Amino acid sequence: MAYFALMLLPVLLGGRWRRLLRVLVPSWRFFENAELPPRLWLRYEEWEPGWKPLRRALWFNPEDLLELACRDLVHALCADLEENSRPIQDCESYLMLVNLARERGAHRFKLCQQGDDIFLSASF
Amino acid sequence: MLGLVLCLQTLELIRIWPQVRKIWTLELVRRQTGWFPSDQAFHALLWLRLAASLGLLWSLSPWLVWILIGITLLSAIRFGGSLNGGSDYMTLVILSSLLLPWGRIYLAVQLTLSYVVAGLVKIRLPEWRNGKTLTLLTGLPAFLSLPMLLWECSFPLAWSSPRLLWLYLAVGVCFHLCNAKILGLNRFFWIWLAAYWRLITNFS
Repeated sequence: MAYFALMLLPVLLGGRWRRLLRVLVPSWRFFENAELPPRLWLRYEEWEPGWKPLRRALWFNPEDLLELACRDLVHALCADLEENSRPIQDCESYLMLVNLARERGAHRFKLCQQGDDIFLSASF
Repeated sequence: MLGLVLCLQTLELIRIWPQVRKIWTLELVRRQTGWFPSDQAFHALLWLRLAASLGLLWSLSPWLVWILIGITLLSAIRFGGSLNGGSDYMTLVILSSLLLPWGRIYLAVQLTLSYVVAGLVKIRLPEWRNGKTLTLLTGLPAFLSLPMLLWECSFPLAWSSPRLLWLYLAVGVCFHLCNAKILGLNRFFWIWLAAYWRLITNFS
């Protein structure tokens, strides 16, 4: 029963806790969009795709775990862009993507969907 | 089975920890939560999760289960709410089912919902029904899309007889295997297999 009380936390706390504690309330709405999600591009000398190819290993597969978590940052940024409640440069999703781009040696990133640029970061 | 799957999950997370701490930095996590264990403490908690997962192979003690729930939740918070989407949900569903007297029923309901809800949100879209999206996302032939959606949506029928349950679960194993080999979702494969295991050891 204590666990079910825990499940109420995201609702009771509200705000950002609703997102941070969302694993407590299972949501099984996978792939509900029919279109491809936005893709990350990183700026080096030229723009290059930001995603690494997946290894698709069945057993021990930390590379894909990290890659998929990085791809989720793009969804988080898109959610923050849609919410539009504070400057995007202050949003954690944006700053984490900056960290990701830096980690991969780039100095700027952008998001593209169906060939169109939908977001361009500042240079860092 | 669950203990082994949790060990695998934890070892993967320990392996990527050096990159994780540079991207999902402590400073950014604390900005959102106000408080979060230091990097050293969180790293130690991951090793504790590994030990608790191994402990689960011998005992289903509620203490071990609560430790695993707590660290799984902290990991999800570190990643802004979820590390690996549905596999995190299913991990917590199985762990919480161990704490409940009617845990297997709760697990069966959530397992069924995981397919039915996923099927219903897709089947209403023509691009999923005609297979265009399946091909776009996975490269699989479009004709597989509708049978897959029907299998997902009709999953409650699996509980009508043990023979039908085995059939649905066999398709489920193939389904999750494809997801792992095409979309890199190996954690989904193992945790759903752990859910199957926990249910069939009782149902059949």
